[in-house]
Amino acid sequence: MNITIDGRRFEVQGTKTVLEIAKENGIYIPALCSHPRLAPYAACRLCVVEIKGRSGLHPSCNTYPEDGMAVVTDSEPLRLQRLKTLELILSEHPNACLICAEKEKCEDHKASIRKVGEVTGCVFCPSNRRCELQEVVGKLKLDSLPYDSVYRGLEVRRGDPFFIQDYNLCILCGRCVRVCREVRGAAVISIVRRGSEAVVGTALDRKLMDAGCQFCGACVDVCPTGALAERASRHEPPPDAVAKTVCPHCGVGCRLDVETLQGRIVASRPDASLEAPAVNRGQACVRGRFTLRDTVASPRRLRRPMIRKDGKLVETGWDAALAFVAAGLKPRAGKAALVASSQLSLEDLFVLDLFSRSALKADGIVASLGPSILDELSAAAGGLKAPPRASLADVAKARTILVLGENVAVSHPVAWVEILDAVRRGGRLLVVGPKDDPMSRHASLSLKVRPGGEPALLAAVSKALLEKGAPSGLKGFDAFKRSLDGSSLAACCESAGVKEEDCRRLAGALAEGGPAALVFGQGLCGAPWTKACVSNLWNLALQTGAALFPLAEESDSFGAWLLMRRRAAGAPDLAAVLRAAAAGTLKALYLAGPASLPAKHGLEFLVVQDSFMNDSCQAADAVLPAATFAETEGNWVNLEGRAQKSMKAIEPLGEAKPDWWIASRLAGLMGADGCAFEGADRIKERIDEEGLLAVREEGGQGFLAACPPGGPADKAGEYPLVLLGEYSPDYYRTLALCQTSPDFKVLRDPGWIKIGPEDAAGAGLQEGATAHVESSSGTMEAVVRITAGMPKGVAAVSRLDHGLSGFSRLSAAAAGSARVKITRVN
Amino acid sequence: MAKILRRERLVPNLHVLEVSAPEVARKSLPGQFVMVMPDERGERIPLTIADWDREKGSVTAVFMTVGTTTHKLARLSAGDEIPVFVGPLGKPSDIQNYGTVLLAGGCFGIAAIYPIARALKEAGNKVITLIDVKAGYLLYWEEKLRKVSDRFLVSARDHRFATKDYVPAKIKSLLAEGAKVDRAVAIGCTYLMYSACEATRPAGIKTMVSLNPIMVDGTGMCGACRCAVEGKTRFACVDGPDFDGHAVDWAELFARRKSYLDDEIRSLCYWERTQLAPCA
Ligand SMILES: Cc1cc2nc3c(=O)[nH]c(=O)nc-3n(C[C@H](O)[C@H](O)[C@H](O)COP(=O)(O)OP(=O)(O)OC[C@H]3O[C@@H](n4cnc5c(N)ncnc54)[C@H](O)[C@@H]3O)c2cc1C
Ligand code: SF4
Ligand code: SF4
Ligand code: SF4
Ligand code: FES
Ligand code: FES
Repeated sequence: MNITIDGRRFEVQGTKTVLEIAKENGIYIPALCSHPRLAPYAACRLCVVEIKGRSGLHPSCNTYPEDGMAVVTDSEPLRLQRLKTLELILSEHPNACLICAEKEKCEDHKASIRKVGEVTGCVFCPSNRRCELQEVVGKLKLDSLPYDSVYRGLEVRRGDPFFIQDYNLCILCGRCVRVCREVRGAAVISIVRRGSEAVVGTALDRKLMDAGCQFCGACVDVCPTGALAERASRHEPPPDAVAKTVCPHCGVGCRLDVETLQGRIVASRPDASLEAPAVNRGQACVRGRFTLRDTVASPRRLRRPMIRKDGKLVETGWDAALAFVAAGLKPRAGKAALVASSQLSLEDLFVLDLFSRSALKADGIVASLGPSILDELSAAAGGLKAPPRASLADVAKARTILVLGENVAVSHPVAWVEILDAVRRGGRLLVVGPKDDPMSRHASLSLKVRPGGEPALLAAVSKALLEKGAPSGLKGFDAFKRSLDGSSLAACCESAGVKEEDCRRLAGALAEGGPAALVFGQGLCGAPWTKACVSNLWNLALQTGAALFPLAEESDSFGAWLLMRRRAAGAPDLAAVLRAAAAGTLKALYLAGPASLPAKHGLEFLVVQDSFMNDSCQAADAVLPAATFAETEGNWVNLEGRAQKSMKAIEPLGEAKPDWWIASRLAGLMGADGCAFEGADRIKERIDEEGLLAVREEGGQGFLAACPPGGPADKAGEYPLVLLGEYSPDYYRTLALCQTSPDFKVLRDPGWIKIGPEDAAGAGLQEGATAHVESSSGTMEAVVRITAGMPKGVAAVSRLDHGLSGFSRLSAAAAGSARVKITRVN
Repeated sequence: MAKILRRERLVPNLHVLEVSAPEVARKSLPGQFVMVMPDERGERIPLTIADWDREKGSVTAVFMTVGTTTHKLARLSAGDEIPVFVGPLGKPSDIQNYGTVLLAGGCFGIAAIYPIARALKEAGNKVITLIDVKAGYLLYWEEKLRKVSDRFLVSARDHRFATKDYVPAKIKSLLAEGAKVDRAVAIGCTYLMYSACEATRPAGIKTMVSLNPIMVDGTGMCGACRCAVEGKTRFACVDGPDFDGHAVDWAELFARRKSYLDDEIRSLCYWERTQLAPCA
């Protein structure tokens, strides 16, 4: 259809508002409540326009084009109306600086007093010079107000981590409320009270923390004013440079703008772009939004190379350190292993992999996280060359989504945002897990299984689907069908701990048609039932035509997997490496990823290459300081298998060097060929030459034998509780986020044990008390967090060991869960 | 140790602090300052003496929360003790009968000019008080000041005062309407003092300002408070804090006040994150 705006003709589709069309074509209409990611709200009334043939003024943010529509965006009555509206908005907003003729000079001279506690004008405001309200005032050329200034005098809310809320600056545009509900599915805040008393707040006036806030920061980023401001940087002046980076935390690979000031990171925010290639469409999570600054500047950063001399680590220069390490590794080539973090760039991992093969004569890198969900999937499916791939956009379009083995809202919050998008479009969310989590609130069906009951439930769903008829002709179908014959639906359901009718409802929902996605993650890894679970999911996907969506956990898990599938002999994990060390077949270990190794485990030579001082440094023969993601450029391969380029934001701290540089130099000293690179660009070219990323989906793989119930025998006995080892993604390399960010420590801590109210009361445990946890193979201590969603008989701790969780001591054999008893420490 | 008798928020960001310090109260004169430390680990900062009560043995200052130390002070209340409250320091303001004196004050300077206005009035001057506030709700001590002023003017960016002026505009219009001003005093943020001086310079009205460079010991020993006045280096803590504003090298002063800005910002952010709930 065609419309005209200010006499200019535009050919349009009708899906965009008049405001959006105008903006895209460079026509300015003031607007404060609309936001491209949010549904129209039409509250601020600044965006009014005239439409020929209709009386009155119409908010353009809420007006969709009609064929032949003629819009006028600028006229005397419009200007007057907008000024009046703006005056009203400003009548209760600190406005002196907005209309003050001295502002610019004053601002320059008052730099030193910007740090006040209460904002009474722009020169004191954290949003100064990036404020949308300021912009509108400038554009409308408002220079005086017909009202006496009023300061609302609301108390500045500082009781929550990460950001401060000063509602004296709020213009009630409702963006924060809407993004929290519409996009993040959290609905933590709303506009409470009415009329002139109206203010943004939580139900019962609780702190955000107690109202379920995840501190994703979405509200902070959409706020057009300074009402919501990041605590760590709110007094900082605007940045002098911005670098486009990729978040190093989870497999989503959010694009982030890292803002720097004089070579120091002041803040990181999601790239505002809503279009591909920005996977995150303007969103991020607490890790990407609020912790990077502290992580990179952590006091634990390693700044200079160190080598062990007379039993002590001493600082030295790169030349001496590299020579020392080369001399220690060379005689042990062939009896050495290299463990790397999948949070390193593809370039880093590629060179480390080359180095491990050519210089260490090892079989390539080993991922420090242990088998990823991609490994589990390819192992179950008998050696996939490439995992089935879906994109986040596919997930957002699915009609049915089953989430299993992962609290996506915490592990991959931005993938969760896409799942919610599907739900908003009428899709159905099905959640399966041993405990209640925030996802259940949005699910049309949420099934609680007993811990380890997942494979049994999936087998039961397959059985129920078979009753409804099944796809035939696929390879292995008959064998699959036979493998399910042994147990009845009822038996499977009982073993899973779910009601038969619920299982049938789940099967019904999956069979109903429309695109479906099976989303699963690291929460399944490591447990003895992982293989069974993943095989059964595989079959379920074939039965229903659903897309498998494995949530690659770390920012470069996919990249690491691509490299590791080239290993001759599958992927051993860190435990296998340590066993080899204990058995004396491994003499040297090169650690470029987290693993708590405070002792040498029989190793003769241990090298630690990391960005942070960590446990393993105590035992290391050499410690090499590596640059962080922000200090190097490279590509990270996200969970969709997409390589994303991240730019360098700042120079490496101290003498730190990129991981690839260190490996490349060492390889040279050790006389290994083919590892000499001068820059990350060259490495990427080499990766492309080798076609590493050009993986195609494997077709033709048929059904696998189903894994019917069996599961671990459920003997309570002396150890009444099942302790789940959860995947907690709150770390960067060897640094746990709670160690570096005082705010994060309030939110989540791997030193916590989550336990339901009933079990806590039974063991006499209060919130915050220290619990003694004992299994047949060891003990640990943890701080009690009473968590409503934990079912009776189940508790959870972090599985990853940054020296902060003792879970590995409790579960010598099975890494997924352990039977324990919990008592109070007096 | 000195005991706090009162600590109240007057208006946003400005607090009044009254401390029991009989020795200081006994010797205080207009224009002098005290050095204050809110806790053992903090920094010593200078605050102008805004009032005193010799009988009660108390000294009053008004401070603006601009950084870590002042935010710490703002968290104290009556009954709390502070480790350092020493003074009076600095040279008192010159008080004589000049004829008509214009006193301009903003921020904490609204309080800081009060004892000077009172003394000038007692010395027989006609006192014109000019207060600058961004908005009406930031005005305090109005009654107190009116009592010692012959004329009381406000410059503000607020409809309530029907003007949109800054100090220099008010001074200019005052002079334009023929007011005879023999001397001026300006206290407040550096920018206010600088602008006031620029406004009085053409008319050649001697204008005293209370300089606020960074001070560490406040007793002439550390050199932190060096400023350039009439091309000579002066120590604001012992040679001042009052100086002839037309002789001050303002560019240098602005630069010096900003010299630790980066550290101050980080210090405050760190303090806010670790000492204010919830991470405390
Ligand atoms: C003689 C004199 C009298 C003063 N009287 C008052 C007063 O009555 N009320 C009031 O609110 N303020 C007064 N000040 C300014 C006050 O001392 C500073 O605002 C205070 O030191 C800030 O400390 P902070 O730790 O809170 O802030 P910081 O974050 O340390 O600093 C904020 C800004 O204050 C200035 N400043 C910092 N440290 C000092 C210091 N040791 N000495 C001087 N300035 C510093 C700097 O320009 C800095 O940019 C006076 C200053 C001087 C020199
Ligand atoms: S929110 Fe914007 S207009 Fe309001 S004080 Fe801050 S910078 Fe100024
Ligand atoms: S941080 Fe996120 S969850 Fe919390 S209130 Fe803001 S939008 Fe909602
Ligand atoms: S806090 Fe910000 S985003 Fe929320 S309503 Fe107020 S101005 Fe709008
Ligand atoms: S932007 Fe249209 S009413 Fe606010
Ligand atoms: S403050 Fe140290 S010399 Fe003046």
